Amino acid sequence: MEEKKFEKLIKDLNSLRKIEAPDNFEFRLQTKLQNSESTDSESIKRSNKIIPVFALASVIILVFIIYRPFVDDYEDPFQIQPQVREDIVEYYESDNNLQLKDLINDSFIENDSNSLNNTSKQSDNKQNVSPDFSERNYSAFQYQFTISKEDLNFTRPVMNDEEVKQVQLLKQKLMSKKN
Amino acid sequence: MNGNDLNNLSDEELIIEFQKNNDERAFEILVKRFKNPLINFVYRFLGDYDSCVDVVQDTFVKVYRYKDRYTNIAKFSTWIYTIATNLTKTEYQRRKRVKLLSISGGGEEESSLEIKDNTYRPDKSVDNKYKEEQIQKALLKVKVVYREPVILRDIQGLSYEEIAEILNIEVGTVKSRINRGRKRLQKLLKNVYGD
Repeated sequence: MEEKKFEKLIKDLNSLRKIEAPDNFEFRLQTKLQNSESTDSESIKRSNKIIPVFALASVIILVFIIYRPFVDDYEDPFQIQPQVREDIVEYYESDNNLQLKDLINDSFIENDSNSLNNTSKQSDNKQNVSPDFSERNYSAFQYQFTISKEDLNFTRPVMNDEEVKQVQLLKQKLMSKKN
Repeated sequence: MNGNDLNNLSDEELIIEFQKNNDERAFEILVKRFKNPLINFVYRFLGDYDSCVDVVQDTFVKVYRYKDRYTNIAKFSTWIYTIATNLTKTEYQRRKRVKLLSISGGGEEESSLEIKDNTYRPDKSVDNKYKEEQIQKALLKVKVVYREPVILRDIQGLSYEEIAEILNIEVGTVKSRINRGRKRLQKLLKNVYGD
């Protein structure tokens, strides 16, 4: 049906003059084949030279990366001690601190009640901690330095008794005015 | 196997002979059999004889070098037409790029709907050469996707199934593309065929 619609066109397309290859087609083809073979063998020769050089260079680079023979201060990243969080714990190499350390260590040997008494003294010194505690000592140390919610409220004003009384009076006045 | 025996072999048998025994005579026979159909196909597609000869030669170079990639599942003609089609499209794209660089606004083939021909006079009988020129010009103005199947079907005389295999599309798509291509050609050649 569709073919009939284009019958004349199809007939004309079919009867178009047939284009033929030039006489020297085969000869040119042979030349092209020979050229492509020679370029192939040249590229193979070139790659045969390049591959060993490239392999050697890669091995040298790999060795250099893995062993780093000329770097003396090389530290294995898996062996480095974890960093101390200075924002949480402050560590001072001072005499006072050493005394504090002794004090803490002594307190671990004592019973729990004594260690609890020491807590208030320690908290006054704001958690000066040596990072080289043994695991046992460290857990005891953690127990001693439990920070309460009150301690964290740094904005709380420190008032004496008189000031407290004044504040109370003002509060009462305000309440009476409101009522 | 002597030369006469080789001549009696089918295309598929020849390429297998070339694969297995590296018999270059088999390849030469294949060149003889396919050079003209391929030249005709590529010329109708590109419209340039020198480029078309180069493309067909490259097609045979590829057949020669990659002969082992041919498998007996497909027809040899389908395989060689696939190679030629791909190379033709590559050449077409290259020429298009060159054209774009040299002439600003070369444009896509369907930019103008009508072929302007001032020499055409309706009262004059349309001779074959003139008609052929018009058809060739019109073919080059049809989009590649429609041009390919129209040439393969209406000029080369391949079956829908073969075209589907060459272009790697469904038979239904081939038919619809051929139909659209013919419609387009008819429209472009309305001064030859009338409305």
